[in-house]
Amino acid sequence: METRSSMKSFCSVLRWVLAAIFLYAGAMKAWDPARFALDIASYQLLPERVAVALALYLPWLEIVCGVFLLCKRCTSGALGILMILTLLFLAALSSAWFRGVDVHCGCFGFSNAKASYAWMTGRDLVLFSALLFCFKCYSKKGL
Amino acid sequence: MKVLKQMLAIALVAILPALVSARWHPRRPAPPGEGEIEISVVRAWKKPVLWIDARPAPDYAREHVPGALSLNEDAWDAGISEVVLRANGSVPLIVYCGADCNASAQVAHRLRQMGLQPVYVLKGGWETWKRDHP
Repeated sequence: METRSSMKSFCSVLRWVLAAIFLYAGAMKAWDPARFALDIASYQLLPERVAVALALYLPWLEIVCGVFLLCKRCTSGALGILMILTLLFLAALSSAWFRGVDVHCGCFGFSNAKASYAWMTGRDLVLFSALLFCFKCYSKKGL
Repeated sequence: MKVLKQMLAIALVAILPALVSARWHPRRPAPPGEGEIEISVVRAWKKPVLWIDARPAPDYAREHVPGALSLNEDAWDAGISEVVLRANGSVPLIVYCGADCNASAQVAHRLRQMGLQPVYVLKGGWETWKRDHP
């Protein structure tokens, strides 16, 4: 009973932390979508038109997911979207790494420094694991 | 199924602020192809223009269009005053970056928002200029 209670508390804290991370990441990008468009374009994967559309949409998707997580509404759906986004980012990053393209991460709205592939990959794997763990928490009944 | 429905609902909710952002955000990305100009047109003008190099500083330092000023998002504050001074409201501004980049469009967009005009983006960028000036 006590284990279940501590697991519930841990999942709640993890949900808040993830909500804060994606609210912050989304807000930084929503603040300057022009720069985020350049960051997306630096991956050289998408046509310019798509990069511009994504630069306007993705930050708000992260913010909306963050708000839903914070309010514990549609939690599984928000976590599902964030997992897909993280996986897509990992795929784009791997592709850029493989092609030897210099990219700006764009993850938190800062694009001055060139990205370190190993650091970004590691960070996003940790993030994905946290999202997956949280998703499993909230998929169980009663949490 | 419930999760998919939730995901769809969230994805739809995010569209509204994105549309507002696309219409009114002061730092919205430039629409692709806005104000693009061919090098042949610039050549035919036979009048002075102000070239703006939107590539990263190391690329500019390596080689650039003679007389071009360096201005990009990463060092905007450092470069903008010189551009405003030289633009002087009379010469067309032509911004370029590499071949497949969006930096020139963004810089041009921002210059227009500051009231500078006319501002163009060189189609094909630096590589086109190089081919035209072997």
